[in-house]
Amino acid sequence: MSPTRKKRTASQTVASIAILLVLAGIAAVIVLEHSRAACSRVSVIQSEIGGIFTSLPEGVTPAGDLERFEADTLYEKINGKAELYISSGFKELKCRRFKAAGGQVEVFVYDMGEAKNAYAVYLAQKRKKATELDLPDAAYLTANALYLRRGGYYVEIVSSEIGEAITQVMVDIAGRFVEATPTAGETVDDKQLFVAEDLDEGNMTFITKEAFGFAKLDAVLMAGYKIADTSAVAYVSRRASEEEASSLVNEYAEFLLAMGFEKADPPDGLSNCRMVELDGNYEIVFSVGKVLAGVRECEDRTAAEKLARSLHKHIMEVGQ
Amino acid sequence: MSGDGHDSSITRRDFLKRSAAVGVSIAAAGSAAYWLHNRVVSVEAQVTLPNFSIPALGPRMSITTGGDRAKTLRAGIDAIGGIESFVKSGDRVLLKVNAAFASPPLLGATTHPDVVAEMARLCSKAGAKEILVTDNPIYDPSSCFDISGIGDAARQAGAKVLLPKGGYFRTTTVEGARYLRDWPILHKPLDGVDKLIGISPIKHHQRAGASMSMKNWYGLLGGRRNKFHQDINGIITELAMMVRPTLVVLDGTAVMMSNGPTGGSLEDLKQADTMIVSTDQVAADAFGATLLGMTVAELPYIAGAAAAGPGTVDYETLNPKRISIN
Repeated sequence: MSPTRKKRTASQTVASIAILLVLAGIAAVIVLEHSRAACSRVSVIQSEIGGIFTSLPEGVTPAGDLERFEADTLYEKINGKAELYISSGFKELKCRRFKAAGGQVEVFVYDMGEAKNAYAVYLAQKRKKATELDLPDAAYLTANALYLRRGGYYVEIVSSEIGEAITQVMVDIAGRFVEATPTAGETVDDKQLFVAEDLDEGNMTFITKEAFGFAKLDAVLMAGYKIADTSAVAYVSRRASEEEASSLVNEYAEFLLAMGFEKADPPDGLSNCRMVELDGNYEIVFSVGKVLAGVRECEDRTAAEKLARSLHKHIMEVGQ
Repeated sequence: MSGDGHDSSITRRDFLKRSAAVGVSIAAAGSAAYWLHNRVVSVEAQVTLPNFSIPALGPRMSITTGGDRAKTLRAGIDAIGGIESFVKSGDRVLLKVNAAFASPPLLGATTHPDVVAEMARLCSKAGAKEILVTDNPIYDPSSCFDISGIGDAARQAGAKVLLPKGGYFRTTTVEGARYLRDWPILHKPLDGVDKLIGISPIKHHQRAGASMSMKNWYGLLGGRRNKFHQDINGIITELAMMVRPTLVVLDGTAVMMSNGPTGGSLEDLKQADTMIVSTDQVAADAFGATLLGMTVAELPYIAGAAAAGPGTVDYETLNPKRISIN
């Protein structure tokens, strides 16, 4: 050995190996990501069913591969609509085409992670002309498609034809999906908490997070009301406890005041109620047990108070 | 010398050798990263799309109502001078369709095959030497053209379907554009073509508000084009700057009023039974917006395109021919 060549110490060797391993890891990730971008749809052919249903109905055969899409590739399948799902907690889409009853059926299973997320996208796209189906957690039929939510899943089954036979196939597939998908039984659909009078059922939205710009307000179901010449929005949100619901009323009211709203005297007879006003728009928020509820976007104070009282009374009656 | 007896000093030669080795490694890694980053396959020299419009004809527009797409298309074209005004004998014609999804025609998410077939027949009748049909869907193009029915309809009418391939792309830069600079476009089908006709359905679009004539050119873009969704109005405006078609056909027979661009349920569609044909894609989209129950103000790209180039938001100034086919 040359007298000028130093002997490496053990620590230097370890450090060198560690650095080389890190660099190799980085290179591997780059290569994997690159090949994933170039071939982003992953065909997972574990079985005809791919874990989506228990089995296929008789006479139904696959017409394409089972496909899987994640958040960064979802737009490849549904283009501009991807954002609706991604902003609502989307995890993964599995989809497949099947031949059935002289036509084709395509099944889309969106894993939205949580029941409230599935509910949000279900409600956001609910068609007005719908035939409700007796399938848990909720489902409806249109002329050529079936829409279903089950736990954290939102499912669309779309046919290329119209007809009784293919409709029956869609219902059968939906039933098999329900059978294959146990849920925790989480309650998300609180439509029954709204007063039926003047309610616009076709105008409901479920906000999963940061409702009305307030970070602490999540899982809020909103419904439009038309009261004579005035419109208003009512909302309900089921909280974990009475204390949380009560506390949120005041926190939300303080948030609105900080945003420039002004205090207004709340209507009589409503427990834990706060009222504010801005530029002639009234908002009333209150709690009943575990339910936080309120009325907003109403330019008529009398109508806002009347709706708030009806909503309060109704929630008391139907229970929380 | 360090306390453990090892000589910890380094000679100049050792230092230079090690520095050189590190430098080569960094250069190699950097070169590999540059080569891999946003690679576009088979991209050659830049191209600029020719202007396919026929200025001598002046701005023309027809609005035809009726439920039969082939009939309303024929009547609409006849009303603005007939196909021979636009397609000459010996022309190579490209029909740019919307085949974005592997979705059956019933659902209205793609150009209807009846319109493709009829347009191909009209071009053939005018003596076109070759009629091509193309689009660059993000999803599997073969499935999209097959399930939408466009592929079969085009072939049966004597047109040739060109599915995108790696070597079909060239980069382009649109003058004055912010996004379409050195960007790959599906150029091969356009190469040597004399006339360009855009054919699209009228659809609600979750991101853009609406998908009509000008949004149809999105299907000419290559690369990671979804990044443009961040400024959808800006990119559609630039698409209108990039493409000057001979004619656009906006099929409002069954308008997708909600849940676009994919739709899925027949309840998303409204039977408007209207076919728009125009040399002015801005005017066509401005009228198309009304069938969606929208205003031009709700679709900023329409005014943007009008400001950026030829085209008017005020379609009535084109004195559109209004026809009804029963």
